[in-house]
Amino acid sequence: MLRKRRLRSLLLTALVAGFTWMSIGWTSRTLGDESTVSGVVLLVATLSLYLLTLRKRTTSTRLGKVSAWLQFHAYAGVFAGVVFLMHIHWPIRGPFELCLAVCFTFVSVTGIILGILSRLTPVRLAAVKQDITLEQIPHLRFVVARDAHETAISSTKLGEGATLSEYYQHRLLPYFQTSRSGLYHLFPTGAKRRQLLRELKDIDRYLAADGLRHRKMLSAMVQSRDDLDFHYALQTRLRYFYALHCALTWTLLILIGVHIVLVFRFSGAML
Amino acid sequence: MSAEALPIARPDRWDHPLDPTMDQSKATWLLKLPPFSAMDPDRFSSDAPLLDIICKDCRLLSLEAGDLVFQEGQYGDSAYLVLTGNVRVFLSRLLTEAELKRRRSHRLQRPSWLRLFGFGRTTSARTGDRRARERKRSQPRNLQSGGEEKPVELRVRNKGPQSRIFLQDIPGVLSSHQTALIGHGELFGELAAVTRTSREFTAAAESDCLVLEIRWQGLKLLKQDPAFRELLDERYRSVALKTHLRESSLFRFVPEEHLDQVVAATRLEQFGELEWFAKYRKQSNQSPGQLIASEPLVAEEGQYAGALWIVRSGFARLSRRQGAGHRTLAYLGKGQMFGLSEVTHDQRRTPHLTPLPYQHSLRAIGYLDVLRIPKHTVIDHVLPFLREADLPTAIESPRYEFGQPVLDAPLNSDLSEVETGLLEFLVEQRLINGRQAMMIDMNRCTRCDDCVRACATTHGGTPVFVRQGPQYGQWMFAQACMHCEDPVCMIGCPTGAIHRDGYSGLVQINASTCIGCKVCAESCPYDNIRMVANQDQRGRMLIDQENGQPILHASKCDLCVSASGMPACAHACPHDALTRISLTNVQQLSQHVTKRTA
Repeated sequence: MLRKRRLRSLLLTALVAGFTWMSIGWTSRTLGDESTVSGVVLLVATLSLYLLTLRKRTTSTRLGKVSAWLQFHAYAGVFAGVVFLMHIHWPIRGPFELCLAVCFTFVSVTGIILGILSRLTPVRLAAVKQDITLEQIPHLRFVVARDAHETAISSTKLGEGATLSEYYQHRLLPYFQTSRSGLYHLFPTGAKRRQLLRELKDIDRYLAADGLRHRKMLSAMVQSRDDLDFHYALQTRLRYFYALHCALTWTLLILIGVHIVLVFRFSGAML
Repeated sequence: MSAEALPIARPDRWDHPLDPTMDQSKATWLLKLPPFSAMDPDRFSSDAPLLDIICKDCRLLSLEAGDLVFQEGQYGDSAYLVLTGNVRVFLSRLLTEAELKRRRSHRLQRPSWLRLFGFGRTTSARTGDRRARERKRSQPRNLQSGGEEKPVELRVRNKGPQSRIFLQDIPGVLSSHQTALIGHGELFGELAAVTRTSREFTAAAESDCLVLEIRWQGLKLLKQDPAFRELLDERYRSVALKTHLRESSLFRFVPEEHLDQVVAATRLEQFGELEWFAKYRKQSNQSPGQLIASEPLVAEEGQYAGALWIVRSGFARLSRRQGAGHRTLAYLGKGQMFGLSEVTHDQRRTPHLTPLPYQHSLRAIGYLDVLRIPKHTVIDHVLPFLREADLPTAIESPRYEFGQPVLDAPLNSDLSEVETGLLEFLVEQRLINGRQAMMIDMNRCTRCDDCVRACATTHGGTPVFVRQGPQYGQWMFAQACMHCEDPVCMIGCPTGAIHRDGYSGLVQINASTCIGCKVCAESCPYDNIRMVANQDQRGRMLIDQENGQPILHASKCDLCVSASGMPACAHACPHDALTRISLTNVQQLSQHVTKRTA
């Protein structure tokens, strides 16, 4: 059913884009101003993308589901991108037009990335054992770090030497006490966790029964901290991209406004 | 910012009586009438004396001929006592399924822009045809011998500030429908109130009469009197039996004389406890095996299949032994049957074959109300009148046969509509009780919290659910009120502030009568009710003038019934991850899961 809906929507988008292309071609052949035609269509298509924002700002259920508006937004975005390519002329002349084109491209790219991320991120998040809300993560990180610290300190009292606590001090303390790198937040991986778990496992040979128990507790905490970081990275990445997309769309709106003023003010001057 | 507080007197249980005009003189008069005259006032506690119960929890209804007391499908939390005149209870249905469904829908009937394009339109002719078909199909016994069923016309009568719905041409309607007479001094309507279910039939005044309405809270207090408790129990046994047998589709074509035989042989049995939530909370840490073992056993696999069981209210677990444990195959709700296949097999069998024992086990989940019809009664008085299409499929390879060894069933055999793990999870968590459960597909949810924001916007800045809760695989059941089939939160409410909407069945809280006693929040097995501080219109926190403690009130999801009638959370989800779904119905759940996992 989903595939059918997607196919139908894509076909409709292609049909409308084809019709626009033919209209522009016909205008050009009849010596009309094809830039005005493509510009007006592009303006309407771009403005229709802002309907999603308006729908999201109201809680009225009479306007339909936001998911339906998002579907419309996605296909209208594809259509706007196609019309944008019809509208611009290579090479792009003037710094303002270049700015506008770059801004439009960025909005489109962030939109596409958001679309992909919003499909992939939930699946990756759902793979983690327990779902965690973003607001809970700082507190849970603190709890895990505190427990790890207490476990490491208590391991010194077991009479099995300071191997575990030494390892904790050198390798785990920075892991528990500091946040992950910017690159991790962009592309979160489990490499660090795997490395630490392997190193912890390697210490087993120096530990007796109680030490082993503590080591396993620390391993579980490394896993917990990694889950929290993973959730935090994926959730914030999506939110940052969304914020970036929104910021760019408002910038684009301002630039479009200026562009329209310039078009009307200097119509014919560039010919 | 300084937090201002407004000291007030703490709300009391009887601040809002059911009838503000009910005074001591009326109550004293009522005390002289049965069943109150037979009650011993000393049996009632000093906190809630008998006179106060009558004053605060009762209401006198002065009805004219044709006035409806309650309608079928309506959720009610009151019992009625006829003081003067007569009341008729319609034993046949007056409303069609479509009408009932429309009335139960909590959505506000507003003009939709989609209707402009022709969506959702039905022509009156088509609707009329369908209504006629549905009415005829569902109630062949409605017709009196030789007579035509008279169409029912409902009107509204405005009488002072109150309005009442009445039946037009009551003598005509009464002559063409099967009714039961409720006369002077008789109690009725208490079944729906006690079992938290919808009314099965409509009750209307036959003549001008005076009826005393006793709300559930008062009824519960009156049950302190042993004689009154006995009266209720007796009525429960006798009346419920007849009405519910008539309701079942199995008896659709059974002639009246055979049905009387069935009624005489049927027993109404209860398993578990009405207030099951307390035990459930205590057992929450137990293993699945211990949990199943603690459930009251209704019928056991391998035992002689001596009866047919019909679920009247509550839920039952259908399971079979798997290794050292039990595997849940389905859960049965209202109207569903157990044992029909085995009984039918015995009727079909040739003389040299032995009868079949039960192939599965049936256990009560929480509380279960079942009808038990002996096998020989079913074979003699029901099966001869069943159409071939209505019979269950024959058991081809029974797992249990008398005198035969029992082999362990293969684990991978696909017996249930929903994945077994999910089914077990729903039953163990008692989520099967949810009629509007918030089910989130975590493979789609981006954790954007748009649902929470929409909820907060609709409810004055504070969301009434938490986007967290028990999770099985990709499915999360968020902590939002599920508007349960059996809302146990309502049981202990001393004021009736938490109640069910008459038709939609949505559980609502009346903030003005909520006294913040926390009983509902503590009773909810799913922790979906929260106590929040009361504020006045200027945002000042209300505090108790005696001890300075905040005045609380219960808060929970109301399914946005006051705003738009459709849940804002589900509408705000950009990825269609959040759905409000009835988990009482396995088919609906199965369809949703299949659609999402396909």
